[in-house]
Amino acid sequence: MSVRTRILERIRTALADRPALQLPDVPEPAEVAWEEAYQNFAQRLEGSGAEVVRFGSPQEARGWLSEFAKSFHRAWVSPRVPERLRPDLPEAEPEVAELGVSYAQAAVAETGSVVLASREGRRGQLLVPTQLVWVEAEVLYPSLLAALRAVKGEGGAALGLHSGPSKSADIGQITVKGVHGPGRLVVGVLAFARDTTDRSSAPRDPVQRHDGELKAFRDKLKKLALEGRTLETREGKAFSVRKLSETGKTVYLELGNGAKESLPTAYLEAAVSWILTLHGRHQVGPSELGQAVASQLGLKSSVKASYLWGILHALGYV
Amino acid sequence: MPERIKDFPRASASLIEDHPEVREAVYRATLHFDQNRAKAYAEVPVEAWRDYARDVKAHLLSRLADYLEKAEARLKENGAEVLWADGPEDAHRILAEIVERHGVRRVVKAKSMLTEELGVNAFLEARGLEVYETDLGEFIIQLAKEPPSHIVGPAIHKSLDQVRRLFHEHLGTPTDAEPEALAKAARAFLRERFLTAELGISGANFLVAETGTIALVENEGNIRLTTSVPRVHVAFVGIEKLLPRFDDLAVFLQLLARAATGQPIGTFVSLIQGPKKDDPDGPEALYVVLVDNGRTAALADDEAWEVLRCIRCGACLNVCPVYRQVGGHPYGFVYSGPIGEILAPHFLGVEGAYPLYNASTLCGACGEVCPVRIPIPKLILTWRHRAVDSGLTAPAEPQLIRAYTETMRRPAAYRLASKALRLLPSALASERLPVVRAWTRYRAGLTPSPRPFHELWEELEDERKNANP
Amino acid sequence: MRVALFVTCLVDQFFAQAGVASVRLLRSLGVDVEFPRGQTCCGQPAFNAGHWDEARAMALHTLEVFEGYDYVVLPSGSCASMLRVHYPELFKGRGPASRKAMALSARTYELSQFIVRVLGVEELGQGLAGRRLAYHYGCHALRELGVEDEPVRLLKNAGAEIVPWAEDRECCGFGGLFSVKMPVVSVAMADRKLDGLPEAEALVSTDAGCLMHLVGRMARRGIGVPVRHLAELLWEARQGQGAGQTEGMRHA
Repeated sequence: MSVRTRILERIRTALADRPALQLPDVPEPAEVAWEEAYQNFAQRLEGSGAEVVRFGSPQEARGWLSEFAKSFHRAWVSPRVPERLRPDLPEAEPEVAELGVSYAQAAVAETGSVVLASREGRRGQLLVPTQLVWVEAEVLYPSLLAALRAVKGEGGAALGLHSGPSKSADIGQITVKGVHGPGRLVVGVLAFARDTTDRSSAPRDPVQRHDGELKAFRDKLKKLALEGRTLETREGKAFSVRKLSETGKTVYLELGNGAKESLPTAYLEAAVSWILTLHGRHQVGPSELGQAVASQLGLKSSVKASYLWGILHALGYV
Repeated sequence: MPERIKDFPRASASLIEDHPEVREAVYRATLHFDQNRAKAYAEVPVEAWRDYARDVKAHLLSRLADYLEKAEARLKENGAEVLWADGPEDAHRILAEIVERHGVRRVVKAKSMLTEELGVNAFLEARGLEVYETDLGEFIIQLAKEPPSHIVGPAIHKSLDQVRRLFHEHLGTPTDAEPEALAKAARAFLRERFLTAELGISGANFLVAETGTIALVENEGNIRLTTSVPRVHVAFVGIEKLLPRFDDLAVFLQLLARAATGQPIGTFVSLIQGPKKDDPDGPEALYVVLVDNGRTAALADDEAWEVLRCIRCGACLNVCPVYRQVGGHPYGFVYSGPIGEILAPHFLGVEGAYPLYNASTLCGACGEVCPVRIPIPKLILTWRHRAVDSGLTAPAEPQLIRAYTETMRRPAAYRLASKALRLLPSALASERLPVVRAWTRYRAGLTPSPRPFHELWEELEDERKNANP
Repeated sequence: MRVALFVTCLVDQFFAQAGVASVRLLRSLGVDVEFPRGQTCCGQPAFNAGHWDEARAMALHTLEVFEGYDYVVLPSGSCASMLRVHYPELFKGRGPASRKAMALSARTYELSQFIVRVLGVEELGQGLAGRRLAYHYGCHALRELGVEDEPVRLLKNAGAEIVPWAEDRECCGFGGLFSVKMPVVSVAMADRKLDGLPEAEALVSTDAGCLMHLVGRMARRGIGVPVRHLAELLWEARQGQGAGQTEGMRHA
């Protein structure tokens, strides 16, 4: 008998006469407006020794970055970081870079954490002495639960939550920084291109309507359905747009394995509006896209984000 | 190990009498941890979280086999290889195969209590491998060739000066180096090892059955490095470490950090979903070893299974007045403090763990802080009862208890004893009785009241009658 | 209302005046307290050391002695907790004894708890005006019975000042047989607690076990602060200004 079987059998025997106990619901944290979430986020991070900088415009962020970059000679920059947020420094391997620049998959106000995806490379998040992490306003979640839900299954083989500089009190109970990971953590919050009054009270539309562009998008979508060409999710799953419904409100998809799926056109339009509002934002992942759409339309769950992304990718929106 | 456990009374006494610096360091550190915990608990709906955490773990354990199968399936889908170990021998065999398969010569290790249980370091070193503990505290005690003395702060018993001497000896730092400089030296030394090791070994704080996610919590970044840089990662996971749902991590990650160190969350949390896929770096192979090592036996124990809810936060150590005096080493077991007292008998049997569960005044402080509401004092009592049933007592203890019981069951006998106590005042000071000796060696002897209360009662009755004639 | 005093064996033998004070105090509050003559020991030392059969024998005796009373009042947190918390556990699933244990548990109170929660009295008198007292929160009273505020409130309301003591909620190290099984750790705990003891006229607690241990250690270390049982102080509070001192704990 294998060890596995033995262990499982021992457990089943042990539990034979015991009832299965109830699994309680996960406690749902209170909803928090974006501004308050930001304050919590900054306070927590600063409380654990990180630096937080908030930017009201792309120009402000850019200006700050060029000053900030002056104290470093070489940087590792995550491929996820958009062009406008990359420092003007020679790029280097994580082992020798003085600065690492990451682009957060999510951020958590409740715990003061940035969530970093392994897809951008883990060494660059860990081996550098100073780490700069960009956080888009849209991915700052009030609670850890909300953030975890948003990143579930995303980001690659591993996610890392960083909530301050590396520290230890193992030597005589005296706190020292930078023991193994980055000893300095700087978080730049890009608090623009969105209405920051209230994140949680949906549905609310901080995104401008782009009626003209949306009409163009619908045309492209129809064309896509007529062509029937094969599209791909970011994970590489093939699918195609089979047709649009009579009313144009639903998009029918055919998946690689022959299965059928459908997607409300409204989701796609919401996503396009959002992308157009955040002009120049091409490095959007399915989860962010899904979240943005969900929050705009007041939806709770994920919105088949990978197909959403696949379509928008094919049409050049992301 | 069991030989050392029996030594607890002597070892703890010798620590107090001969090593005041250790007692001081432990006291200060635990007090600090506990004060931070109390503050951190007060900031959140902690009672509701503790109820929830208790119930999630209780539910999980009540369907553990199903959840293990689920976790295994998810882990495999994620690309991990899943292995099972009954105890140290299986674990060693598994490690030997991995080491062979991947040509491992150098190993970096993240702090893991389970690998302490399994004696992983000694095994690998005996096979000629280089093994480096990378948590600063673990690194310190590895240099000092000592076991950890605390679940969370393995080197809290070491003073700054002791660390200075150790580092001077091993890393060549000056004897008056400041903590910053010491940490820097350790960083430089270990960084080289991280970059050249073929294998990283970790434990796991949680394993999510729903997604096969391994969660690891730390403050230094060494666990993230251990699980990211070497090309092979082996995670040892106690079978009780599972959580049903990914969403459960939200409270558990926060509760663990708040209970352990008073932080809102560990500075670094790794959520590992498998070996590298379309990632630019990360380990090519991930092995997850699910370990029993006494846990199924604990689960089968109808009266004492609740200890399996433990998430290894160390809060009960920090608040324990006994642990605070002596630290973890006198316990002579991987786990010390209150949780060690109720884990040890599951691992070693009631006899092997004797007399650890007697190292408590039953003050109840541990039960009050436990994030998963393990009724620690109640379980300590359960093990004491089992010990007595197995004849594990101090010499003459059963006879004394029986005599005392027979006296107390009979009011007449009690009164007679009460008289004898006063007629023979030396009875309480008789150094011939070991019990009395143990009292009077450290405390003044006891003198009974001139007359016991029950003899004064008649006068009190008269007093009442006179007042209300 | 029939109220029984369970004076407890330690108070009976070593703090007799605390028993006297308890009776006088309760009578002064209009409680015609009775003293069931058959009472001995609740069995806690045996229970805590794992000798449950013996503990059960003593508990059975105690169940019998205190049957029929509306309340059982103890000048001891630890013994009250034995009746209230542990008797039901000890007799779980044991038929009539289990029912009796549950019933006794529901009627059991530590002295100050009884005064505040049952009698609803918070003002005893002004007999402690200007007195500076250090209060030791016995662990079982504090954590098993939830007696936290009551003793201190009664003392303060009688004019006493409770001096700040960082270690006031820390275990004194007694722990029944623990005190003789692991005496060095036991007194190390007492020392840690006593090292922080502020200047005070008396060290007060509602637990005779803790007091016995502390007074023994203080005498050995030459710490001169008198050690007093809560009941005595509460009776002084009741007597008003200028009440005579009652006998404190004596030690060799």
